[in-house]
Amino acid sequence: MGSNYYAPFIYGRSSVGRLGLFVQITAPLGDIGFSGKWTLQLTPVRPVRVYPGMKIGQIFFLKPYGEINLYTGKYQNSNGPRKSEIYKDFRKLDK
Amino acid sequence: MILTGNQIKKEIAKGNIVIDKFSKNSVQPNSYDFHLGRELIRYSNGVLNDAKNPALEDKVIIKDTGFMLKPEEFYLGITEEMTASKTYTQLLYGDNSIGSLGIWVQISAPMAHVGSKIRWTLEIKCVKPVIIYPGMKFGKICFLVNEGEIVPYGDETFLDSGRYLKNEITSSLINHKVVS
Repeated sequence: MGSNYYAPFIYGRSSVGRLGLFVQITAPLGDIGFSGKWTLQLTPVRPVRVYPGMKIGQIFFLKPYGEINLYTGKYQNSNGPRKSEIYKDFRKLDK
Repeated sequence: MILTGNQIKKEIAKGNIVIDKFSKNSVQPNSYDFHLGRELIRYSNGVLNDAKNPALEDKVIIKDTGFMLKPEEFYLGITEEMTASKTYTQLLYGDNSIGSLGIWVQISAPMAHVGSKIRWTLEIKCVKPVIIYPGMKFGKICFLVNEGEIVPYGDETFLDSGRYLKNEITSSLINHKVVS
């Protein structure tokens, strides 16, 4: 999911929140130009059973104001859950 | 509407947004990256359950060698950057790389009112023990266009009239005015 024209936000849906399941613990805002599958940061408050294909959340899009530069970051074209690659940012700093 | 990275730069040039310290390398397609400051507050004795009275707090300085967050604790951190706008509303989030480490940033309060000028106090919680470093990229701030007449935060019209307009890490002040 993604868009070259709008800024995406992703949230768990209310029925999932009512089960005590966080879907995106801290990063709901995506970048214009990201395209790929979103890694979900699933964190239950209590044990909860989930199933493949279940409806789990919603994506919505905000209209941008200003000229657009598209996302070209490290998570582009993700096709499965991706672990944090923040260590790459530290390597950049160390150079 | 949400400001694009290019528009954030333009609004800074016009004085409608202030980011200190600003680096053009931190401009993203529709947000600006912020970094973790050195100080943390940790509530002492684990006592956090009386909203009516101030909690005891410890200050921790995050060393260059890092600091390990523990899942059973709740921390308040601070952004390195001060951000301000009398024109736009700000929202702050952790980024995907931080969320994927199991770190919540801003467990509940991502919005800064239009008129805010702050180094943000970060509400930090982790799912598993994780080591963090001062100055690391921690999340992003985006700017939204308001519709309607703007009365900035800090105006005495409002109940809390800007009690968090401080340039330092600030624990909850809820007991002073709201709960009585």
